[in-house]
Amino acid sequence: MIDRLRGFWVRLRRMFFRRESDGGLAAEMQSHLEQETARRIATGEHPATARRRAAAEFGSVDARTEEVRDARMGAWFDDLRIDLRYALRGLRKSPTFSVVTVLILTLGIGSAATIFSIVNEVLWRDLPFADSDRVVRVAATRKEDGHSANQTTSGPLIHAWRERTSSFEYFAIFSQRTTVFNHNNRSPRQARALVASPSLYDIVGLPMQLGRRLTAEDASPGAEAVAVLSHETWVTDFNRDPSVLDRHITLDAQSHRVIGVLSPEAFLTILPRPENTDFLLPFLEPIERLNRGEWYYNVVAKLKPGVTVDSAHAEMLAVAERIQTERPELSEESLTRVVSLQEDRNRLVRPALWATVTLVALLLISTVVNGVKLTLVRTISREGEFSVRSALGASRGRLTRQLLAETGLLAVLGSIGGVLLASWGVNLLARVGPPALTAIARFGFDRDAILFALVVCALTTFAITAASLCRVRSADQAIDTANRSTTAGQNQNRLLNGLMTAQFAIATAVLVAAGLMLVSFVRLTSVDPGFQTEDRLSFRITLPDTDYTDHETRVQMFDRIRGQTAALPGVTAVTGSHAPPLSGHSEGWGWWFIDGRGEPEPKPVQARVVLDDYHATMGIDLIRGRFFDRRDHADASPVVIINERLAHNHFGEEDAIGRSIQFGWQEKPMEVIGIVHNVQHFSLRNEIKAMIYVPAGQLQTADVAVMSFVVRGTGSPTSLVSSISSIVAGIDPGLPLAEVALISDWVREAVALEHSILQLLLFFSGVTVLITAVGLYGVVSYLMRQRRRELGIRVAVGAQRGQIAALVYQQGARIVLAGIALGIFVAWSGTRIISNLLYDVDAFAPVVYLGAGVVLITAASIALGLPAWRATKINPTEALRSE
Amino acid sequence: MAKDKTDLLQGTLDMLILKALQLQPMHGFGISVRIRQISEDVLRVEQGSLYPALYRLEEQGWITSDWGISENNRKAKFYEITKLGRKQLANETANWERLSLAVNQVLGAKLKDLG
Repeated sequence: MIDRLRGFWVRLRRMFFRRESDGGLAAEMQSHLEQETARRIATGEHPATARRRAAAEFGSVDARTEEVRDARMGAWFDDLRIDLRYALRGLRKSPTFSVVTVLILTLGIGSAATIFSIVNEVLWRDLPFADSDRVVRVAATRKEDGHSANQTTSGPLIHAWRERTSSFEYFAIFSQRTTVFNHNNRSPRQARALVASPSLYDIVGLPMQLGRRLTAEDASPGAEAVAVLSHETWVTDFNRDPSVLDRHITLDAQSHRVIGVLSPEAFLTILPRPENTDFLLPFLEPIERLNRGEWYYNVVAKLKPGVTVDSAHAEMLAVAERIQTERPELSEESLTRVVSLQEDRNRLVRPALWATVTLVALLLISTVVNGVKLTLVRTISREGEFSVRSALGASRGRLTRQLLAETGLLAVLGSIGGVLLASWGVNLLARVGPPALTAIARFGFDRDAILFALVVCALTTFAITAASLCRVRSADQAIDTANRSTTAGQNQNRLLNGLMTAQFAIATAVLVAAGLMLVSFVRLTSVDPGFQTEDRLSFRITLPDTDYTDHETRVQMFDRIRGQTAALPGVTAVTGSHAPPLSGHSEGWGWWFIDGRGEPEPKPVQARVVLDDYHATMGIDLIRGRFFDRRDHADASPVVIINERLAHNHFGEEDAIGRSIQFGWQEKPMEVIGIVHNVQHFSLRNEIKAMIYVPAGQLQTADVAVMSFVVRGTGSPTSLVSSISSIVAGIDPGLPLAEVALISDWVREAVALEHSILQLLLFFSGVTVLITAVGLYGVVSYLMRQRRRELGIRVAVGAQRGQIAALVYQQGARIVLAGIALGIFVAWSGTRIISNLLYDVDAFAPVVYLGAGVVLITAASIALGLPAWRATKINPTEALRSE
Repeated sequence: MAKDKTDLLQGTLDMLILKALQLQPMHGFGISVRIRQISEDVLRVEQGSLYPALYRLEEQGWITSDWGISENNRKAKFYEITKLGRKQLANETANWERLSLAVNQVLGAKLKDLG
């Protein structure tokens, strides 16, 4: 053993220090030649003659060096070449085995490498800037916003934090804004701007293509208005014109000087939807002057060196508590937290990714088990060959090497296939993956993924070879007993059965997980959103503050657009809201709600500003009372419609109709005139919140400059888009039409992540079942070959075809049933991993477990069909003679 | 197993080299001279097979090598037999003796039969 290790070490050292060793070799040859010459001179030869003769005898130094080198490497390469040739010949002899094994490895390794690439990028890789582990999100979530994605905070509260904390080196505030971009004579378009403190760029360090980045001076009060272009805007709107610097562009009717262009590598990892950013603008100080009711702003901060996320979190909690007592009006009732940016960024997709990783790991294990099993079966069938070789003098080492070459070849081919599959898979996911995933990272198939495939390849080769070697060891003895017709080794059959059972167990667990996701998805998509989604088109209008200064002109504008659109042929109704359900807008219109009953206890509520006919057009059903109508004009007494949840929570058994309620931003109390059904506003997962609807015309102190119109049409509403855009252009050519979408698309997007995960899981479970079935086929075919003689005798003494087939099925049934039973147990104890992804499905739903069983039994029956059919075709005379 | 079954010629050269190194470390040239001397000029080692053999032996861990200065003040690579190498030499010597004895017996027997 020690000798072997030593030899291995020497060879390894040579492999790495070959260069040195080669130089040494030439020097050694030279030295030999010189000594020979010296010897000849010492015996009295003339130096010149001595040199000539020595050289003649020795030959060329180069040639000698070459010879030694050949001896060193040559033997190794020769053996390898021979091994590979044998391996190829062996694999060609059983093409089905080879192709199937390689294909299965391709599927397994490809799936695993794809998921690895994504998980590596999203969960493990550092964000692309310096000290990314010190960058955190700081957020105060108002209790009313609950656990929703909203993590925005108010300007004055952020200012209070900034003043009272010492954990942070940089404290950057940012928000995303919709602006109207007017460029030359082109029609205006809606653009997204990232408005951020310049210190943000000290944290995330965005690379620039041209010009300079934003600095603190740009954000100081009274500074010249400047903007940085995203690379894409520079390409699409400015045709890569380098002279764009110092030019003025118009955003929201205000002139901004262009000071820089982002490099294409710049990736705004801090944003939920970074790809949509067109401009970077400075966040103007002082932020403490901002309205304390506007919880619109995000905070990214960088910890001082040595400060941990936990200690920063602790400090923030203490500070939040102080602010709560000193200035309660600032913090309202909020929960403050500090989380690493990385964690914050992937929080939505993390559970889904872990579930996927678990499943793909199971798939990979099943792939390897399958490779081991099939190779084992094949090695056993080749026992004779190995015994003979062994007897003829092939050493164990030689046989090992040959097996290694064969399995290695299979594994390498499978890995190459897997790498190709994965590079395709990763690109596919990057293109069509769910926005929740593609927005937070740029995927690509990279070195890490290839490394991963290599490691898997090595492990697979190792596992398969180890299993085969166990067989060869016994084959040494096989030649002694030389009695192959006895029922071959019970042990090996037990190992095969064990591996097969494990594979069925894995397949069951994977199928159960996919099944649970499937049922969950079906439930989720059949949730009643509470409004109609078909035949409805939406578009969004943003009115710039500069042209539409007061609320009246804005509401008039919205009414004009609504009226003219409604007059289009094919349009049956038009309405609008600043944030329709599932549109992705849920801007902080949640305000305090004061029950009109006297005790002024504020309660959280979501408010939606709506245009006329909102509920009827959206298809939101009325429970009691009436909808808004012509009576509810600006000068009439204020009215409000509430949802069922609010009515139930705050009025209980009492009738809410006719009661009056008071809001923070409405001076006069409003009378409840109707109660409507709840709608799924934030997602389809039943996150129902108390909600009020206020007619846009009756807004008192607040106002609204954005409106998502909803057009109900007959036939295909998309055909209306061009007429609608000419109407809007006719009213104000400076207004862009944005976010044109079918409402049914909103619903689809609301479940996009779940849909993608489901597709992945279904694909993986399909592959797992396929692999398992192929494995079962291979093993049972082998076992039946072993029993050929027995079957022959049975046929000879009159067994019917049915009876023979039943034997085959019997052989398989035990494995399959044991595997499924084990798998159900495994799945049962492992459902925790996906339980928080599930909607409205019990993780122990019997129907899912039953379904998994049925799928596997069906697959097994198909896999057993061929060996069974073959068994019934056995010709007894041939079977008996062949042994 | 593989080591025991090396072919005769190769094994013999290996044995001769180990034998030559038994007393003291030597460089390649020294080894070739030494073998010639011991065998009284009967056995000549071609450089073409000496150095590959040295490499082989080193790889097996039977000898080690190091750079040093030769007796005539030249840089040369010295080979030294290891513990393992001595064991191998003892083995090979025993094998060789057995083999040559057997061969001699066979040859002797044949001669006797013929005679």
